[in-house]
Amino acid sequence: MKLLADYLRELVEGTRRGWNAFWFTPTDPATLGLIRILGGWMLFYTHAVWSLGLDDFFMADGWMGRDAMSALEAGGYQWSHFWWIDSPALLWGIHVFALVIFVMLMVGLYTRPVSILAFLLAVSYANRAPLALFGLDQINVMLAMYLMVGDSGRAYSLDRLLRRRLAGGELPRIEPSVSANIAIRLIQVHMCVIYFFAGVAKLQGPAWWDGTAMWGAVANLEYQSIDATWLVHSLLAVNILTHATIFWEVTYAALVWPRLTRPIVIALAVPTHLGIAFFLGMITFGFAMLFGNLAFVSPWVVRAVIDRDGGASRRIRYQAA
Amino acid sequence: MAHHKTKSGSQLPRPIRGGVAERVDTSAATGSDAAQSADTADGTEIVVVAPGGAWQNVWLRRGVTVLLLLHLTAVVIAPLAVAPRSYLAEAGWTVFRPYLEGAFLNHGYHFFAPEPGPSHLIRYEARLADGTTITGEFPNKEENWPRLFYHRHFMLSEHLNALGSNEETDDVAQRFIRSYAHHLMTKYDADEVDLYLRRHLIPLPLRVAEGMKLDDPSLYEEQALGTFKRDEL
Repeated sequence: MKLLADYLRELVEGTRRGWNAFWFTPTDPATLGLIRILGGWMLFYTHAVWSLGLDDFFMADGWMGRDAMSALEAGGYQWSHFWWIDSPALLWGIHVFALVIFVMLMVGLYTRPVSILAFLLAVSYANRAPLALFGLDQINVMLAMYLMVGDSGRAYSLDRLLRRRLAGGELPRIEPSVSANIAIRLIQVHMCVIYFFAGVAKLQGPAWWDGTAMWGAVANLEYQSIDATWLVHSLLAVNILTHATIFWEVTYAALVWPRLTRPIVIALAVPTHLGIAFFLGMITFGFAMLFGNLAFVSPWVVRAVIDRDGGASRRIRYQAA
Repeated sequence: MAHHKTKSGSQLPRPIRGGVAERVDTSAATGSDAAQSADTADGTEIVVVAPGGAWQNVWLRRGVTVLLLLHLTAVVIAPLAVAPRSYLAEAGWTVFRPYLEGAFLNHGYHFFAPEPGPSHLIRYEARLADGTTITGEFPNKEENWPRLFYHRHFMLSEHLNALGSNEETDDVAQRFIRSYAHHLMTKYDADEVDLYLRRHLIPLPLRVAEGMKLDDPSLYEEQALGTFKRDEL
């Protein structure tokens, strides 16, 4: 009995310590700053492309009319500022405002309030045009949400340059931040949820078991951007790609955490998502997923690459006190 | 430089405090003395840090813990509640629905699942008052550029097919068909529009190996969605 009580006490105490260390250990915001630049750029580009069909997709007489949308969202909680817009001029005015907000997020200017606005705008656009959305928009909003949670303007931002100027030219090089850590952890956990469910959902399909699913992807003309049907000459390669995709997705949530396997798991994300980007025509989605994967890259690696400081970016691991 | 010892005997720098509300003395993080004394065998510099500023408040951490648990539960409930689903998942989704839909987190993440299938296009014929007929199809790689814009149009036809393939959402699909027709009539100032759903099947590998093209006419199936008149919409 005492043994069980000791175990339970240790379990509770270990969980409490582990939880606090996982979520509340301050970290260098370099990784979050990089994700802000790339995620902000993706938000800007994604919404800039809407400009080509703003009236078609966002006006009441566009593809998704009010009656159809009401039926789709009956009893739902989707909200959008577009339902209050009847004038094309106002539509364009607010659209330009949104694009400016996304640029400000990318460069890190007034990052805190801007990141909140960017998230709200991204949600509002998505809720107004649900039939034109795909995975890209899900990742865009996810990153926008967590950039809002974390203090993403602490690194690689105009905010920091302005603070340095106000401080007389010098600021500490690294300012560990709890909110940056919470944001990074949220992205990491969310990426695990995405890959896990993407993997197990595929397990319902026979083509992912008989090894032919990848053929279904490359032989789909509407997705295809680079012809990879030459794979027909090596069905073994199709089988390998199919099984590797499933194995990687299903095991991602487990193997991305140990230091030994993390580099392999993240390295495999690169060909996987570049393949989606360049062979299946979803360049934006492929890169958005890679931006999400960056959450698993240590801040010292980000500094070593971006700061180019000749080795000053030492391999630092932040550890809870 | 002062250090404290861990149970294993290795030396670590004193904890430095970091947090959103506090400027941090980073000498322990970047100073060479501390770095050397805290280096591990693989060259990693371990910096011991503790939450600073407002994060030292245990009640703040507990409050954030509750929010994190609620958020992460919602994030997992969303894909778990995709049909076929359990009663538990459905009940959870009902509870978290306002948050999931309000924050655009209500996703199943079923990319290419259960398996890659045929794609769908919409063909239209718009008849104008002067007797002219405008024909077109979306998505269209020639007209919809850049690729992201093409994909937006591709999703219009794919989502419509998905809605129409489910008995529960067939009524919604019918409304979107009328909405698409109405939009095309407005765009071309047409009096009448015919819509067709085209299903583009995936050829078997053997057929492609034998020389079949991906756009072979035999791979397309077409279904009429209806004829729509301006005064009826």
